[in-house]
Amino acid sequence: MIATNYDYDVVVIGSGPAGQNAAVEAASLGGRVLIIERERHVGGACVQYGTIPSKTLRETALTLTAFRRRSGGIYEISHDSQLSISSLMTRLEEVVRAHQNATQQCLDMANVERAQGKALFISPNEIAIRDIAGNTTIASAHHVVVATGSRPRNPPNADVDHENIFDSDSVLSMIYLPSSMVVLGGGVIACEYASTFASLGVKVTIVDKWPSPLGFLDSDLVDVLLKQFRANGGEFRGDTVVSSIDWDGVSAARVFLEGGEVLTADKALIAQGRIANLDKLDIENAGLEATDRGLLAVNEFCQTAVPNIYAVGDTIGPPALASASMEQGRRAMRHAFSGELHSSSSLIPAGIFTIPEMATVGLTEQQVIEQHGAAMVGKVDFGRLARAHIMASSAGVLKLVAEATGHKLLGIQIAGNGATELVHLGQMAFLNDMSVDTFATTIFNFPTMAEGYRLAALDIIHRRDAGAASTGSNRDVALQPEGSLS
Amino acid sequence: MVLISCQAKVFKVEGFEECVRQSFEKSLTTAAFSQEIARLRRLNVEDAFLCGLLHDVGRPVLLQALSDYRNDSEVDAADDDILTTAEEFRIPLACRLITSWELPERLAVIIQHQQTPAETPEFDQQAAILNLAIDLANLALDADTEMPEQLTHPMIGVLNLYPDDVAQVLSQHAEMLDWVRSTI
Repeated sequence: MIATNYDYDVVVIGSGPAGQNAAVEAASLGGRVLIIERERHVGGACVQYGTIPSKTLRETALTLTAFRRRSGGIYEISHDSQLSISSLMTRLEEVVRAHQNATQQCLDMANVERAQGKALFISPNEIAIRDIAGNTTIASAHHVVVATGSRPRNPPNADVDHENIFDSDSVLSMIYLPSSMVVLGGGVIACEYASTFASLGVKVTIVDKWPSPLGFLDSDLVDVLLKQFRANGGEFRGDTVVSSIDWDGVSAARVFLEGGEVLTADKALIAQGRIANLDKLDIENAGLEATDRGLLAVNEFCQTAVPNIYAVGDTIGPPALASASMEQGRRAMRHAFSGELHSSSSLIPAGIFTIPEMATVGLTEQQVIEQHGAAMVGKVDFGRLARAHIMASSAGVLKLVAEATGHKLLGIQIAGNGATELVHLGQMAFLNDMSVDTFATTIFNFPTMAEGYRLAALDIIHRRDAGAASTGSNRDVALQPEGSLS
Repeated sequence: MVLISCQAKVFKVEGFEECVRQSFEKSLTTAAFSQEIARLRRLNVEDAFLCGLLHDVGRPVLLQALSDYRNDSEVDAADDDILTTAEEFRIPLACRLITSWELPERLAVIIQHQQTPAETPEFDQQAAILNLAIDLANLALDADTEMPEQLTHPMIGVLNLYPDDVAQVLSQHAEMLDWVRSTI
């Protein structure tokens, strides 16, 4: 307990992944904690519109396509043209409720109090809570955590009506699968929805101003995604600038491109990033100011310019991952309660739930080259893994990135079925400072996808032993021929 | 929409013309409010509109049928009896019509629970939208009542609508009424 003159030690605004972890961490450190949520249930946009619903739809899409592939053509999976999206997410309510209940239980067990309402700063230590009836109560706290999340950034040249032109918060309110869809944006959310809808048979066109989607990722991973996306009938149009988007009033969303071309589709999805929910918090009353990008600037402990106020999750910008947000919440509260000067591991994996999915931890090949001068890379195509063939999921790549001598592991990138789980094995190796050779000498179950680590490590060892030049100079060295690793 | 806007002219129920007109006017207004609330809550806008539009469709059909039956038979039913019967059976008939028109079953479920949204086994948010929209339509169409800037209604809590959300919906009422009157 650290506060004596306040109602609470900590008030957390927002109960998404960042807020709930901050609240539980603060409570576990002995604080009296209040969490404020504007919705009726805890969980934030992650549960309402984001992670949980989209991944539920994706899982169904994966199951359908996997069954089609794995049955070897014995069973033909098809759906009628009026397939309702809700029928693909029949488990959604159950999934959402389970997640909300688990989160609420976690907060209850930590004795975190909860208030429903909209929060506004009165001062750095006072928060007004306005409920749906318009009543206001005030809570004071020694520390405040801003974890209010974000909402879609809708450009002014798009008439997002949530009926024909959707944003990422409303796209799953569609009743039927459209026959075609234009997705604007090449980021994580855009690619996740685009690849999911394409795998369900929707003719998807991604339009983006950049030459390639997911520019922050290793290009080997993006290649895997685009290959699968195109195989599902999708089209990626990079280097393309959109003038405006509208609904023709009858049957089509129209995307007007610079140069005069007009793309039409049944529906359009705008997924061009998100903006932090700071505008209704009256942050100026707390002495806070948003950055030019509409975010709160924080130090490594997620502490804002006002020392007793922390900001976490989407309110501070990238990477805007639930996993990172959770860690930020915990880190902020450890700093608030103990003045901890050393942050814990900054090794946060990134999972991108496209079809196929992708995951990374540590540095990319390009980052290693930039930071260390050169890199040695080992990679294995999933086509070489028995388990991948058994699962009829041989599209994928696992890539280990080491420093130039090929011993110290610096990054892992994976694209393909199971990537978001598989990456954790590499993450554990990082945390225990294991070398590349560990993967080559460790016995894994067979046949499993983990075998990919062994083959990728052997690829590095092969290059190392052969005195191969480290990359930066030659990244197109062919993988070892089949059978040479046994 | 063209079809629906013509319906007011399709029914020619002698003696009940005003009642039929009012039903269509209220249905259109309910549809307009429903879609705006759905848009706000990021629920399906088209479904909300359809539910608002069809929630009272049983009434004119019943008025027509009962009136025709009275005219073609020797039954001596008073206008009030016909109106009362139409009120009593309008919701179950609306549900049957939706089924017979092969519209999605969920629309029938939502419309069936327009007065009892808490009792619906599913689509409770959509039923709450319809319930609120019906009352907002009544309010907007009541010439003797000025549209308030805020509202107390049991569905506001169910839908988690904050005062600024409610104000946003209410502020659109004049525009909606213009649209309704131009459509009928």
